Amino acid sequence: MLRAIGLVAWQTFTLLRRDKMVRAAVIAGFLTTVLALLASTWSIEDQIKILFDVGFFCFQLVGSIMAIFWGSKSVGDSRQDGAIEWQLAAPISRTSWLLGKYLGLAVSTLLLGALLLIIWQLGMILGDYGILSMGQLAVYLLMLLGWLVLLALSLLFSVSMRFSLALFAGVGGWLVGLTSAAVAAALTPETPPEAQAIVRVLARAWDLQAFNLVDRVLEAPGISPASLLNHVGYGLVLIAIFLTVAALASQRGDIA
Amino acid sequence: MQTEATSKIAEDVALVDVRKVFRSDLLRGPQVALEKLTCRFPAGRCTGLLGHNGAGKTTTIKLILGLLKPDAGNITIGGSQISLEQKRLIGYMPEVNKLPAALTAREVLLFQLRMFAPEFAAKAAAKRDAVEAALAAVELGEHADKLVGNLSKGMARRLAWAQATIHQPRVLILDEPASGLDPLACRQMLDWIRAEKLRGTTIILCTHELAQLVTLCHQYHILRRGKLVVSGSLGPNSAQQYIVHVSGLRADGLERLAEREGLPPWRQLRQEGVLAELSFVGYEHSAHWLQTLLAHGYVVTHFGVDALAFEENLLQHFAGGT
Repeated sequence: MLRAIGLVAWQTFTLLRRDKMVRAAVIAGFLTTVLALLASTWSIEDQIKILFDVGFFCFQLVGSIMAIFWGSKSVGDSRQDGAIEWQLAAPISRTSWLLGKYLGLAVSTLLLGALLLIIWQLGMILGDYGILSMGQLAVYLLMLLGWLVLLALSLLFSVSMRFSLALFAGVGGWLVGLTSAAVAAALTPETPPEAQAIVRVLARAWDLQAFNLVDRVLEAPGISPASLLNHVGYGLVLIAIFLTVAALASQRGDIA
Repeated sequence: MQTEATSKIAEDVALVDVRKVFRSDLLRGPQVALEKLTCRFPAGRCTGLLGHNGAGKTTTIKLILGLLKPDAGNITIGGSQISLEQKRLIGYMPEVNKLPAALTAREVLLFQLRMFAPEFAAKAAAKRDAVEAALAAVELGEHADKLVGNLSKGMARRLAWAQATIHQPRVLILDEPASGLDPLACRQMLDWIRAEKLRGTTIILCTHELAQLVTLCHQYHILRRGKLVVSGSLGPNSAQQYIVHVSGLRADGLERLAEREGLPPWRQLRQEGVLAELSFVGYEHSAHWLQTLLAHGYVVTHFGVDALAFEENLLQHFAGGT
């Protein structure tokens, strides 16, 4: 089973590394770094904060969009060109196939993240900001975990929907996740209690801001390792839930 | 295209009371694709699966491959329910090119070999040799590193054949294998199928080309609106019409020969110049005539199934006749 999962992961990775979107993402990462450096240079105070606020915001944007796009496209493309039939006619269970897809997508996303990190680090060195601290690196890695969560969500949607719908649902889920905590915090006493309860539960269950701790790491007292682990655990649980539901959904239907 | 599994034991494929309903179309309601379909694809034989568009041929193939799940009934390979191990025995060549466009020809075959033939997992050299041999066999050696999306249609069909057979499957499912090929490539494809047939592979041939059916298949099943309407044999003992073309004999000469030798009556006689075409129902009568004509030194220019009569008969089944 592990061999079959590895083979599908390898194939998915091979297909994605030839995707034109990789080049676009790397260019976007480079431009982001340049923009963040320029913005920090132009400011007269809080230069490091501006550097990270602008840079990580753009990385968040680029990485999340790539994760949603790849997660939806990987299965959507296979379905559209019929390759899913060829892949699943092989001696592999649908769950293994799905896990292999996710693994290939995750490796591709992490490599893209590593490439963007190198560009960012080079930019920091050129701008005389030195080398990333452990805390800053941890925040970056947490952001990557957020991308992997979005990847799992998009894969879940793409298993049960067509590409365009899955992409739409993925973007919707991303926006909800980004704003849920802010909306919950902005509730007024006039909001009906039932609505408040729903929004708070949603904000607690699906909060993508949990993977964006750049503010907390730049300000004293920083972030404790225990708190960081909580966020990592939350991300891993979300990935496990999404993949489990995706595996269950893929068992039910017919292929193509 | 040589793997370790050189001694091949063919497996039969059987469908019993299979029903498949598609429920995804909200506007049209449930669509019954197959209704109580029972048919058998015997081990080591080539069986044609025919029917008009939408008759249920592709649904049948997808059910055997496990891509669709039946609503009722049983599908077995070699007497066992289809499991992952059973799927390892199958080679599948889809009608249109369904290989990922961004993989190279070599990557496609490597994936297929690693997935279907785990005995190669630890043998890099053997794996490489098998892939190179498969590429050479379908004359794609020079295009091994081309992306599938950049291959011509003929090359893509050859690659599809290579991926279907690289692991030496015991059951080979071919969906319109010669579709879109030029006459030369088509002949090559038919030769490859014949070679697989000789190796004793169980072949399921889904085709609209009746000539392919006559020349390749031992038997056939015809589907109409998801039901099996007729099954028949194309072997020498079947009730097909056979024709004999004999040169230099006219009707009166043939009649005299029949009377003298006690030959069975022909079904139809057509005379065109010096060539007489005799048609018979069944192999035995036609073979008796063939033997006698040859014994008397007459020149027999053709002997075989009457493709036109066969086609006419099949078209009646397609159209809904008896």
